[in-house]
Amino acid sequence: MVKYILRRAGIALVIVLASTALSFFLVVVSGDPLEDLAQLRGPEKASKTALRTQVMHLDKPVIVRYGYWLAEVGRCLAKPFTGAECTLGSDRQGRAVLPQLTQAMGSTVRLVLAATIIAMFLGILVGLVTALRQYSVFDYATTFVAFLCYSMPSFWIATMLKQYAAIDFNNWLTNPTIGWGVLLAIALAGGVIWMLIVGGDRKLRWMVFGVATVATGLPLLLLVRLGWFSAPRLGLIGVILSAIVMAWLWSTLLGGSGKRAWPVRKVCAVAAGLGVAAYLVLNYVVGTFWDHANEGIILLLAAVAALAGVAAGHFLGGVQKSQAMKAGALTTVTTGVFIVLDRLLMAYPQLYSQTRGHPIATTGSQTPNLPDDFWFVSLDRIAHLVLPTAAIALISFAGYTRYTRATTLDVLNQDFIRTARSKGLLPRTVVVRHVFRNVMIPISTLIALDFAGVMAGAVVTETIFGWSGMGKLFSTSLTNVDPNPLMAYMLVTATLIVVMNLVADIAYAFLDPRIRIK
Amino acid sequence: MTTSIVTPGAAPEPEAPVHVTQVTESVSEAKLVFQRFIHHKAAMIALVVLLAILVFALTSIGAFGFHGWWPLSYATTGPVIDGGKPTLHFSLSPLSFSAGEHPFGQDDLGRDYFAIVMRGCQQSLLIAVTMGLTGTVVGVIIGSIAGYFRGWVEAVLMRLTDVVLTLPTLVVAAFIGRRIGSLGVVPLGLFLGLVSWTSLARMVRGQFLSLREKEFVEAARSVGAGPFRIIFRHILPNSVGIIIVNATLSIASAIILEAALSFLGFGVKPPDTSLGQVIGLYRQAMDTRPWLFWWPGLLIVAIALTVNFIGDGLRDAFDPQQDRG
Repeated sequence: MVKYILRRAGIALVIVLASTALSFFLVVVSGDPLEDLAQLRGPEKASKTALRTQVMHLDKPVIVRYGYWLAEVGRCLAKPFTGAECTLGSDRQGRAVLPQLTQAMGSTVRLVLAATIIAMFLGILVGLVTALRQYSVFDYATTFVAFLCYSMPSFWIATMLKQYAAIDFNNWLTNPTIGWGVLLAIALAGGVIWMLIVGGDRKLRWMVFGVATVATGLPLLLLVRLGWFSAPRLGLIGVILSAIVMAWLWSTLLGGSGKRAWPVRKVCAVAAGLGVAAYLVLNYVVGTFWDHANEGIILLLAAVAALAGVAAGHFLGGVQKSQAMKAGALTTVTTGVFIVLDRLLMAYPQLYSQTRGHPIATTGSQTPNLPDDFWFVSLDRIAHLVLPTAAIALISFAGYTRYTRATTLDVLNQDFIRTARSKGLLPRTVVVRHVFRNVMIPISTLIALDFAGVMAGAVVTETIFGWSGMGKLFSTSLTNVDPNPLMAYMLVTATLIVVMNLVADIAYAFLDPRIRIK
Repeated sequence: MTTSIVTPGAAPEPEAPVHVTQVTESVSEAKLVFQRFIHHKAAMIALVVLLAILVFALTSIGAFGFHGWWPLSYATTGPVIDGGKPTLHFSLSPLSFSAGEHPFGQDDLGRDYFAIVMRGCQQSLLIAVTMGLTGTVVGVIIGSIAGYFRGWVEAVLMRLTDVVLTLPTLVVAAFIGRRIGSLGVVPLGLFLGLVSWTSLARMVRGQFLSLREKEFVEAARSVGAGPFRIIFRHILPNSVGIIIVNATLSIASAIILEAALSFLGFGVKPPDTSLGQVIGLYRQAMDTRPWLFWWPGLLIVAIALTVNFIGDGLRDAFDPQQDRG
């Protein structure tokens, strides 16, 4: 195993080396780095040309320049041992690249991670449902939507979202009321969607339609009437409701139903109670501690929550101990997500006034000069993330849906699924324990492959939304025929792609005992 | 897709006794695939729409030296009438339709936008088809050689594939756009095809890895068929399904890639035009003249969507497990 990983890592190193060398060469020969100085006259031109020639080593052959760049990388790698200065070279104005890269990376990583997670989660979920409801109206409709997303250039989606979704939604937020006709339309749409997802015979369909219509329309009406959209918050009631829903969801998915599920249900109920207690403590007992939280504290609390869930499962799980531990941890952590969401939403009125009534931002990755408040800054960043993330996630989502659907159909046709069904297992148990796990094996490779596409999409999307992230670094460097910043981008993406592929291969072997690593 | 072993020099088999009781008409595999394809409703609708777009784009402003039925050219400037608004008029009650002088409007130089979009359509399709075909040919060759010969040949070719995969398309495109973009759209498509074969190569290799161990390949080898004969006559015909499907889908993604490149200014250069390039050109005009954005965008989506549906129909048609309808 170790030998395999080492060999793969060695090959990966060679690939990164070859691909950086090739890109370096392509960038250098793609144009003239002195083009913008051509208009200058007299001594200024000569001096500037000389300066840039010196900074970019234009008097040396390309291969020597690549050697210089490799030496810079080597210096960065050796930094922990020798304490050498690490700059990753300089751009054509002589500024060090590394500070620019670290500054640009934060926003791009947020964008790429958010888009990947959303696309993956929704894509796998929708793909699974379409496969289970093959040849239904829902299946055809999703197939069409997925193809549509797949067929739209990312810049087109981005521009459309910016022009229509953002501006119209912001306008609506200044006066959040809904007419009766629109309300009815939304409620009916919710009813139809749930009816198509659940399926079943005629009686069940009508029942689902009725319940879902009311369940969509009534809360919406309530929220609008209570002015929720002007000062959104989950509040104690919201958190209690979310905790109950989470407890029900995880105990049903992992524990099954009926008397056998009782221990798991008990654990999840306790976990939900712990979540609500945590909410009360954080908001009313510990004073300003929760207001001054940061990423580290939240991660720590999440770990504590997971541990508490596992402990509840361990002590109360009884015969279903292993299922109960998983379900308990998932319940506490997901309830925690709602607690964080609640605190984030509390910063909304502040954001609303700060952005003069346009909370969904269309340019940049954050509002400059914000007060130093973690929750406010985070909400602002999320508001900036919404549109670009949606633009990238829509395309990725289409891929995940199609792939999950195809894989699920494949797995559903396998003999062991028939065996599981003929044993009399509940359809839900078959789907969660037998189908889903086998679907996830090939999906793990797709995640690594999809990542390259998401990175490329980020370059275009950042251009449209005026982000100064890695995409901007990339395209400026490409336009200026200035290889060093672009190489920094390459170094990050190529390494990530290679590492993700390696992780996917190893995960593949771990998930699927039929595959042996040689 | 024949799996029978037809080797040269082997004596023709005597006629097998025909079962007279069986009256089912025998249908060749190709015919079966074709029948399944024409029964795929979505794919047939998509095919009709795509053909309509193609015929419209080719005949309206003409191509290959003949003049089309549309009187205006994509290059002629003129006075901008009524802010360049589209004159296309369509209403349901009372039912009326009129194209007017500039159905898609005019750009800021007073050029007819319909002619520009039709020209862009031709160019984008040309690039996409060139790119898709080049990518398919390269991918099939590399994938089949790697999958058939295995050993160090496979290792080298697959590592090459990995290198090309990690190479950012935009860097290659910027190089191509600046160095080759001025040569015209066909070289542009050719060179883009040279870097977009990676996924097909991996797929074809996977197919070869399993097929090369099959009995019919063993049989062909045992009667002395050479590697190239086995690759081209025995294994490739059995992989034709995934190759055709992939070629179709790669044309769809080529349309989108070309659009993105031209949008960023690395693809087709003015005075020539493509769908992505006009969208990029008039991106800032979205507020005031949205039609400059809508028409080319809708055409890109329409072309890519129809091609994707055709690809999906082909996939279903080639899939032997598919037996519905």
